[in-house]
Amino acid sequence: MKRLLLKLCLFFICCLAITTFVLVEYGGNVDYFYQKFTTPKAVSMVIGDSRSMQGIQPRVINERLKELKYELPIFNYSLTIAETPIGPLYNKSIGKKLDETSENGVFIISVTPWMFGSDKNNDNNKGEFREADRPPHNMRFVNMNPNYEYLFKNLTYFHFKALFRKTSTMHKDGWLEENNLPTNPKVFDEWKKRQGRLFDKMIRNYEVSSLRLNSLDVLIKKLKKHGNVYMVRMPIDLDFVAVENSFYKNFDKDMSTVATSNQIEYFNFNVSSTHTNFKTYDGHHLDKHGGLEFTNILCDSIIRSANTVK
Amino acid sequence: MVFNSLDFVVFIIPVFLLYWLVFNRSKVYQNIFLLGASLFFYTWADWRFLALLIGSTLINYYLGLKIFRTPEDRKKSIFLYIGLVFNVGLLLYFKYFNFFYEGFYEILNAFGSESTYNSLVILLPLGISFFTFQTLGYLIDVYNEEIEPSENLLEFSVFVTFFPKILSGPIERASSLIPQIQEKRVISYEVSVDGLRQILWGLFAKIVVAENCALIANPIFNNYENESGSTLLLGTFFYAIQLYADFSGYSNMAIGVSKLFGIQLMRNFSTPFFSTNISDFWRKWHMSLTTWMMDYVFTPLSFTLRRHQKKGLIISIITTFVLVGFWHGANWTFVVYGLLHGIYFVPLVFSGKMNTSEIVAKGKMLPSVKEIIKMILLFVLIMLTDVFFRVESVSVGFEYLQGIFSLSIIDLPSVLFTSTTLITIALVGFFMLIEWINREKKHDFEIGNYNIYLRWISYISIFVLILIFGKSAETFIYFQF
Repeated sequence: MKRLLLKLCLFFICCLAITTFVLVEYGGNVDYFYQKFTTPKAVSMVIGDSRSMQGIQPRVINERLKELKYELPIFNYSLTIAETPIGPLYNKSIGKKLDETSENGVFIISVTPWMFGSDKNNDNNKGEFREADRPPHNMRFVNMNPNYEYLFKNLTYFHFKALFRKTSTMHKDGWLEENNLPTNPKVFDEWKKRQGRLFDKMIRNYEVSSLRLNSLDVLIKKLKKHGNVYMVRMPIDLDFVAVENSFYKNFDKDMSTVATSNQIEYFNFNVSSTHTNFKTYDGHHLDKHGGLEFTNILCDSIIRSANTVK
Repeated sequence: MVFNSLDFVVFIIPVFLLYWLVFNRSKVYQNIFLLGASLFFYTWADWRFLALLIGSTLINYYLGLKIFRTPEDRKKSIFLYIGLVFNVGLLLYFKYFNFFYEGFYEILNAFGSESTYNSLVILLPLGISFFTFQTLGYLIDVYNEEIEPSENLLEFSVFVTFFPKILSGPIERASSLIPQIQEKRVISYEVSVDGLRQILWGLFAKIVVAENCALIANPIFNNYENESGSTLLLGTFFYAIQLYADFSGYSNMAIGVSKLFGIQLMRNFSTPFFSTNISDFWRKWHMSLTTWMMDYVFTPLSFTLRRHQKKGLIISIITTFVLVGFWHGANWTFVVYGLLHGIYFVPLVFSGKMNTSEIVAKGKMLPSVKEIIKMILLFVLIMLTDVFFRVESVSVGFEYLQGIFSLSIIDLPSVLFTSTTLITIALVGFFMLIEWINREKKHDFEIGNYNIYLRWISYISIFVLILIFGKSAETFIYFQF
């Protein structure tokens, strides 16, 4: 028995060592989110869904906002609409990731109408949220390297095969870089159609949740204690803007109201005249070049706003 | 709770340690603990039918004793018939009721009746086909005085419910399993390590080979109307491998887990794709079901029909294989699957080669050209027949086959040069290579006689392959049966 247990332990140690090596060396390639939970607590953050996860690049912000003397580096803590709609669960996780010592951070909250949508079958007031079983809400530790908790609880999210291809990279700053987007416009058209079907499905199954809207207010108030907060509606294709607005008719008005009541800025890039400059690859996600350009423009807006306040 | 889940790891580690460290004082302690663990395992899988499992165990235990203790042959037969009616009745009700019910109405409607019917919603208890066949075999063996019944309810209950094989077999024989339960088990390092090897190999077969094949086969089968003949053929190839890797992987894990508890279950697969004729194939494929059917259906039937010589033999074979097919599920597709396999035996009956079974290229590294051709032809035949195992209706099966044998069979398959397909082909090649190397051994990954470095390199390599290419899987194909 002793001999058997000893050999078994040896085998498991070997397996653990290999897994750890892969996680440490290729963690950003084999899972879209893993890397987000291996970095230290953040003094400044980008909050949002897949649009900001791919479209807002922290390294650009770190460079551009140096002059404003914010506490940096900024960390992109966005996941996707499935994991991080606005709500008490996301707020709680942001609280775990936030470095409480931060006093002059910068916090960019990327909002979309879908982030306020709740499944019609879920009663948010009873604590029912569709994202409850997903990361980061099913985790206690969000700043541990290597993060075995994430591995065990979310093993199905991993795609270890990708370490050979590295088609996407989750950077240490939380930005997801897609390295291998196709060049064929037909593929993009197909992807856009698929996203359209997804939106149609969400319109059928979701409704705007007042509790989620209230959570945004709570989040802003909490983050304001640690620095400056900016809300942003990232640019997407105009036909999708119409779809989103049909789901949440007063979205921009509500966002403006929340922003005004908290005395923060709301940058809506879907009404500005520069909107058409941004090209998405599936109707609502910017590729890395578009993301670079957008992040710079967002920084311009933040700098302009900060200088105006001064 | 499937073997390849984290839940099972959490279950098996304490069960294994408690079994050997706390409950190893006597066979009674061991059996009480195994029964408790088995019932817990079944409850976790599907608590709704726990009472059915317990009820079936008690009734079969009682009937076994009654058959044995009743001196008069006529009364013995009555108890056996009660047992047959009870066990077959359970299967008929839970598994086949709607099939016959709908069939009855369809016949009525064919004769001009305009009756309508609503199918009943009957849930299928997990593992019912497996534990029912096991208890049926037990009663028949007791009746035929091939075994004595188990006098001990605890031991009999462990025989029926033993958790590694309760959900999907192997369909164990009382003559092999009960004597092991009647003895105190002693831990053996060699047996346990061999069990762990089988678990590792089973895991690889399931979550690497079967699941990657499924990734290619599923879209092809789901969209068969729009695919070329060559793509459909490729779909059947991957499905045949998926089916084998899925079920043989499960069986290896079940046998391996059982070895950890000092109990040897029967082998269920013996590299069946390295067969040169259909008879040989069925001696190596789902062996616990095949031997069950041979002993309790084919042998009595062929004995009854022996006067009709070859004609009687053919009828016996075809009847047996139709039943083998039908055992899998209440669908005509399985009947066609069994029927076709039965028909494939006919040439063997006429050529007198029905009992030919041998290990291909025994003692050699490579098979002869003749053997390769035979193996390929047999594989193609099985692969095409597997279409009926996969599709939902017979008509779809024939449409699928019609699609294969169209002019577009000469086109290049649409999915052939994708990275997923090429990687899967490499994985299947590796899987088959290891099976080929170990085809003369007791299981597909019996490497105990290799030197220590080679053994450990093998373990780590398999782990790395599982880590990189493994897909999550929440069920096994045979769970539905």
